[in-house]
Amino acid sequence: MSVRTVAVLGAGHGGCAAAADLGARGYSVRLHGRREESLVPLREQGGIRAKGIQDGLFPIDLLTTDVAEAVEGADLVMLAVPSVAHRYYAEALAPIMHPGIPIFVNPGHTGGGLHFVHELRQAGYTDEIRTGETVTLTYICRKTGPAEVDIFSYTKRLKFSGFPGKYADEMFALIEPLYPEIVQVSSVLETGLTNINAVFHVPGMVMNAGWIEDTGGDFLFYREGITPAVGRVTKAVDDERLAVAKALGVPSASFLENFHQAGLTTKEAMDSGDISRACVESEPNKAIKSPPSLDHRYMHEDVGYGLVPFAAFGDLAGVDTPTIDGLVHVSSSMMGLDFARDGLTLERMGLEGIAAKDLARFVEQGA
Amino acid sequence: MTGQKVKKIAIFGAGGGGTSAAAHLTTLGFEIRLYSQDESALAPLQEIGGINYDAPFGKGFAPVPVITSDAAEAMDGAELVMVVSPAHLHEKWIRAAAAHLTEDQTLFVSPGHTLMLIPHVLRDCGIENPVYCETATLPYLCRRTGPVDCRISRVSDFMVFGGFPGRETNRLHEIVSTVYPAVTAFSNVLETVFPYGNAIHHPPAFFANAGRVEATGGDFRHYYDGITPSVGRLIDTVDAERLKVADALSAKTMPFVELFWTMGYTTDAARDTGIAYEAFHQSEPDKWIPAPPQLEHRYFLEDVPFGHVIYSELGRLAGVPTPTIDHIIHLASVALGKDLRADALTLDRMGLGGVSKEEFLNLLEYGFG
Repeated sequence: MSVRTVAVLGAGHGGCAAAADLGARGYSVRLHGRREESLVPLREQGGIRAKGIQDGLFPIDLLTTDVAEAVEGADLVMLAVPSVAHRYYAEALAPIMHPGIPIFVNPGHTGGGLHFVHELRQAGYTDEIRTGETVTLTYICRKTGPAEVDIFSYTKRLKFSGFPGKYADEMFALIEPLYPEIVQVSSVLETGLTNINAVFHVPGMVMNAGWIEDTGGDFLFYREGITPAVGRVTKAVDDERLAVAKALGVPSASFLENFHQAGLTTKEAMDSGDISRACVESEPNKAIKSPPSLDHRYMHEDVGYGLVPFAAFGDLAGVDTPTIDGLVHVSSSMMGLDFARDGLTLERMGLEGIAAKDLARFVEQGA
Repeated sequence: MTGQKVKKIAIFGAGGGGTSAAAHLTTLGFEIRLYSQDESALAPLQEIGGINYDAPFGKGFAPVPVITSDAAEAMDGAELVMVVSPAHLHEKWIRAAAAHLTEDQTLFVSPGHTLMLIPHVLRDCGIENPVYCETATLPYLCRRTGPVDCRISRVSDFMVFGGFPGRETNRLHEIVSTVYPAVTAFSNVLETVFPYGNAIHHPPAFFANAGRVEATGGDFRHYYDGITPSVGRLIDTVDAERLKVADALSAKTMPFVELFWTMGYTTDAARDTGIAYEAFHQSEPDKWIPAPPQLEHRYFLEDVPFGHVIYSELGRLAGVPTPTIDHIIHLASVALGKDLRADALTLDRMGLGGVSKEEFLNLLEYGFG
């Protein structure tokens, strides 16, 4: 079977980019937004206006706030929403879900597929399910207006996995034609533990919190913000992440190897082992500004759906993660939130009570 | 102790605090004997025979009759021996003083806040029943501005004061208050540890501004620009843990904002909010203080090992968790690439390894006598 019709759930940056790009490439797109107000500008304009890898106005076959209507007749359901919205979509999908609906969690960050499946189970769905996920979004993009999106590029060499693992090849075969840049890896544990954003965004944010709030983020996040001390904390987070992966038998590469492989730094910088240098010298990232406040996905996603599940996997593996725990705690205190409670815990990934030795089987079988 | 009036004061330490005390107390009519082991710091002062000061009480030259690197000479005939140094030098200064300390001399450490370190060192030097007293904070907001110059921007009008053993506090207070009327007697040297304000706010604020410090060489105002609402919340979290530890040890202390206000650093309006961010943002005296130029600075190097670590250790003794404080100790260590617990002021280092809470409180009140 090949995909012709895609239900895109979520009308934010990723959803709009996917709707425009897939529409431009001849797929039939059914776009769901939770709020009618966000769809009105698209209706009035007659589609999404895109710039970048696709240029022009791209009509969308269906715009709806009804999840059931969006997925009707779709060959693939793409979940392009922040992890906090997983429960909403799981509850909406559970009554109409059947084994013939493949779900693509784009992006899954760390444990996104596990989380979504757990939410579906909680919502009462008991039958077979197939999901695939990428660690980050398939696009480098930004929504620039209510109905406009800039799509700078596809994300290169993007790690992809499926849950349960027994259907991963099938999911990869289904999705690869849409996104030829995806690369299949061993499991959702491998994509999840390769969530590099969580490794360096959080130290960068927390250790520049004063600067961000005082100036509204008026500095260059990588070039200026990732100083030697921030680099050392990032390295400690990365070492803890690698220790967790190793204890779980999950293949993993260092932050610097990933950063280099993604084309974000030079081989010399990678070989120096100096994360600060690699970030400061990163050519593609050199003009990227800091977020204007802590109330940003660099914190909400990368702490709650990055560092928190890293620590959860550490608990499961019996590996201490003091630096990760420290950043989760300090982030929570600064923002008046409780990431450790509200983020992606073992329970929310459906992994509570699973022993480390049984994890691989669970991830492969889905039960 | 005879209760004789203080006339001669030996001051140990010739940094900003020591030189400011020498200048200020000279203007009040005390005879000062200034001691340091750092001969290069003493030489210019010896050459002119005193120190230039620029202070709220005037501007001028304070002649200091004895400026020496000989502790015995400095202490000879002094009724009060005042140690003015960063906490990490306490041990060194106390060892230098111990051999010459007589029973009728009062040992006063300002700021102290090293809990049982000083009694422990004195005992190690052969003084079996040590007696001393201390304040939580330095009496001055000051700095040494040149080899023979100091600037005092503020003389404190409120200092938490405690004695060791605690039952000696009132007697010691009577003596020291003739020199510094602003000292207010609390129960003991546990109660001078908790109001050590720098220990509360420097580590979290410095960590939350570490990138900016390094990227700009500290080109911003540490308090006014650096302590934003989120950074203030982190300080408030640290403070809440500190208060719980104090409470579990039955130590009287104030919330940080209250303390800051009491010391005259912020407005009534800020005090009413109870929020660290407001307290700092509305602090006129602190407004212009620049950030340190690098992270290798006492905000981490002193205020973590001699501040956060003590709170953490006391929390352990009292059975009160201090997660925020513990995480900041770890994160600051990683940021610096240096284990800040390694040389820290732990209970072990104060000779208190293995004591129970009850034994500890008993020792504080009754000492070794």
